[in-house]
Amino acid sequence: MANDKPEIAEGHRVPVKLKSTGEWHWAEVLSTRELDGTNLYYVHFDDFNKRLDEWVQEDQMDLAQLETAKKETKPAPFKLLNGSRPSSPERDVATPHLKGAPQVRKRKTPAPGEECPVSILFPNVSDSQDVPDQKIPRQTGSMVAHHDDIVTRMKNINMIELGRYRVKPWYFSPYPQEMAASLSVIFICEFCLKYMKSRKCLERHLAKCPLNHPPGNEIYRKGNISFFEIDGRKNKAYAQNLCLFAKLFLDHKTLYYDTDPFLFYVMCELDSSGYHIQGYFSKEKESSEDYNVACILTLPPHQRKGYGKLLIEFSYELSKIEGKTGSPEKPLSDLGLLSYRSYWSQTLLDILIHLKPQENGEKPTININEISEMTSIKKEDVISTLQHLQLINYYKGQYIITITSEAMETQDKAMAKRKVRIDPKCLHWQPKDWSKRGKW
Amino acid sequence: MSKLSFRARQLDASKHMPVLKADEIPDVPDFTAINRAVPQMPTGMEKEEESEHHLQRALCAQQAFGSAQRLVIPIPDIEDVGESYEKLYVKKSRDFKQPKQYIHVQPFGMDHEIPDYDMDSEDEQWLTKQVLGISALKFENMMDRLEKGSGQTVVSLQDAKALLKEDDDLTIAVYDYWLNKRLRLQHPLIPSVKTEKRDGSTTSNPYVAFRRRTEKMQTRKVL
Repeated sequence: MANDKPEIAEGHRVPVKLKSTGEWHWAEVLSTRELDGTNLYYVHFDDFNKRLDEWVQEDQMDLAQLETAKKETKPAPFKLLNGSRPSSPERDVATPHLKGAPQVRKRKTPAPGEECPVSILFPNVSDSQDVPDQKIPRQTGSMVAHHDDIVTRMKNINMIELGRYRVKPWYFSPYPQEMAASLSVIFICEFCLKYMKSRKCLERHLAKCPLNHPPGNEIYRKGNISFFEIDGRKNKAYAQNLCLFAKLFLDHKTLYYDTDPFLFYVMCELDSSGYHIQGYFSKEKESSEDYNVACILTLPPHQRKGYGKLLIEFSYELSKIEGKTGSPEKPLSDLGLLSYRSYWSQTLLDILIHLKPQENGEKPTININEISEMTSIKKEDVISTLQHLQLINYYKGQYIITITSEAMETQDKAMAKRKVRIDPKCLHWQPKDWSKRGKW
Repeated sequence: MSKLSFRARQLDASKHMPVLKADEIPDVPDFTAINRAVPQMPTGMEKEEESEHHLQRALCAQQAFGSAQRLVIPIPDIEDVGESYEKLYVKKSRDFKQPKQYIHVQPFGMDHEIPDYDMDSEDEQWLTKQVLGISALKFENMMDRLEKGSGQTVVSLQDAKALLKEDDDLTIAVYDYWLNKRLRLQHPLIPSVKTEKRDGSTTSNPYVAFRRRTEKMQTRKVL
């Protein structure tokens, strides 16, 4: 028989060759399409982050090992006990509502050594309006049946150009649909973040755009690093543009609601042509959970320069001025987790290593509350970090902190890398009392 | 994992703890035995993503070496288009000078005189073929007003004349061009994000964003 090629469809699994490394890795087909007579397949690699999902051709697949049998690969997405996840507000009413869901648990502070219960990791569980049935079966593979999830599950923008960089997006973002065509590039003004469909349009825009910096107040300046504060209500256009852009690189962000309740802190690097955005974080004007960061992102071309830690450090400097402790909103991304752990570890060790002995010559002492107050790091995060670093030990009936020479060595190396730090003297900012105002 | 032979007391955040350094650490067997079990630090991540391959490697490296530097999490490609960038942004480079004081802006201060409409290559070609004697900016202003004057239905020529307040010849030429383009493309010419319909029927369209808040919001898509 001629042309006996197997048909490759959604839910099928096959080894795929990664263009970047030449390695083969098992992947699942999530979608198919045809472009100019060629079949293309959107694949997700096993155990790799979604940002590595991509459209591939048949010549990148080992068809001899194609698995077409549909099987339940993973359990249903909506289990509510461990790793429970409430539905997003966008979810269609195909999932039945559970009124007064009994599975929602009350919050409690974790004791040391106890794994943090999920209700603390996902503080919105008790507030969620739609709590789906525990037994909804998946349909095929790892895809869920809801149309809007299938749409948001896949990258929709092929490429963006911001300033001097062309970056392939990592995740879905709701840019206008007509701009999401297969081979298109979205051109983004690096100063006002407006999005355009062609280089000519960008050229015309630049002839008119008056900005050389984000449209907000510069609240920090040291060397060539500055931070600008933008109010999501007063500068809606910029805030929306920033969120749309950030969504390309943040999986868990949702643009469901407007930007009014948020402040945006944009970190820039100055050169002869202006202030160039390197990263940002958003923050609720009033957070009921003491979050001091909502979303945080270092733009991909500027990653691995230590800017993530600078953004985090800045967020805690704001909290210090506010006289509060804070924590980043959950869930954290993989990159976010690595950065926060690193920041917390280095900040705590820095304090502990430099403690002076007491006046009577005895060993220095400290408690969790003091550490928390000095750093504005929430108590729970201080405790988890101390445990994670194995700094807290129990000896002769009390808790003690012990710092090994390895820990000190690692710390020295790490701090040597952090050449740029936030200098509180260069921060010109006072928090606003949002509760006093009628509306933000 | 060896079980603890007794229960350690709950950690009290207000209780002072002595801080000991390397050579001061007690060198006794019961000390090391108790502390062998390392409690798992919660990640604050979604369970499914926690076990991702590259992240797990990076976390191990971070734990072992204090840094994940050598084992990075791979990301998709990035390209530097330096030359074309410099050509595009040259005017901005010339005009900028950093002020001595920290920059302060007026809220809502974006200049409303600037048209949102940006001319594309097709428009430019058409414009150069005509003998209208108008600048790119003027053309954009007119197109901008036609776009903003149209809602679900395109604005009529009659209304366009009132909107634009130009010579009939000019108005008709640009209006015709604009209308043709709208009808051909079947979507507005100024790209903008979908916002919610007033009747609230767009609840589940993933392309709808920035809805007004009515109740306590969820800022994370926790899928």
